[in-house]
Amino acid sequence: MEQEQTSDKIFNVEIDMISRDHLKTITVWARIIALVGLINLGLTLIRLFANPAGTGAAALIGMLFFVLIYLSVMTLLYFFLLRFANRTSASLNTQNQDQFNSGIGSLATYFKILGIIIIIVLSLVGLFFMFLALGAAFR
Amino acid sequence: MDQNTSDSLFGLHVDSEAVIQFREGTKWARFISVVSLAGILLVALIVTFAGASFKNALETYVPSMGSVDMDMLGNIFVVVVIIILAIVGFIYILLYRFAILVRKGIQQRNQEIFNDGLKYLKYYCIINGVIALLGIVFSFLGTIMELLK
Repeated sequence: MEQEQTSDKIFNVEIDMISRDHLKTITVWARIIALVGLINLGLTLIRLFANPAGTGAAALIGMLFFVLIYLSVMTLLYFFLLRFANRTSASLNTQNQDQFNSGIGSLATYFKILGIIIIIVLSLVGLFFMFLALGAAFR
Repeated sequence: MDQNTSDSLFGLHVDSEAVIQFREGTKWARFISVVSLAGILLVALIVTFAGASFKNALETYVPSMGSVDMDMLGNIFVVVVIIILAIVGFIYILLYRFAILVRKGIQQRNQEIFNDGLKYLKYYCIINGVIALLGIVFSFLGTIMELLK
């Protein structure tokens, strides 16, 4: 078992000095992106409450619903990016393999959420054009 | 040399668990970059071919700007949009390179290719970070203006 693990380490790709340097820079900037993104979400919320649209209550509730969904999804996205940055950065200092794997897992989750958002947006755009075409056909 | 081997034995490496995570991450990163590049290409084509209609719309809705050359204004609009699209496209090309090279590096167990892939992720993060920092400045200004209204 131990021998198998050792050969796994020798033949697999390792985190050498070059990749360590790249990962350090990546984690610094990923942390900046996540923190700036979270601050930006807070500012969006402030702007929304500072000057709510002067329409009816139903429209306001509808808008709030979409804003809440947007804020939740974006917070989740930045949370995983921040977790990737923190865990990977810490693992580079402590040489903790589990922490490193967990950090890379968070990066994978970040890309997964981003991909799912793109799929949802594309589906909504597709639906919009479908209804537009249907509306034009039945006019 | 011996020290290098012992360093790799005790240091971090891409083990089977990390391979699974990298494969998952690069799969989604490739999807995101390909879809985004296709979208950017589509928008670039629409803007290029709709440039003439934009000029007509400008002439119809802003007739008071008679002294301004509408042709030139329309061309400037098209060029600005194309430049923005080119920058965004470049960012997604970096993401695509990361996805392809890291996957290839792990598959072929090639350290150089793997490091190259991480280099592209580094550039992707730096450019996105700079754009995020510029964006937060405008966001701050927007919020202050909103609060002062």
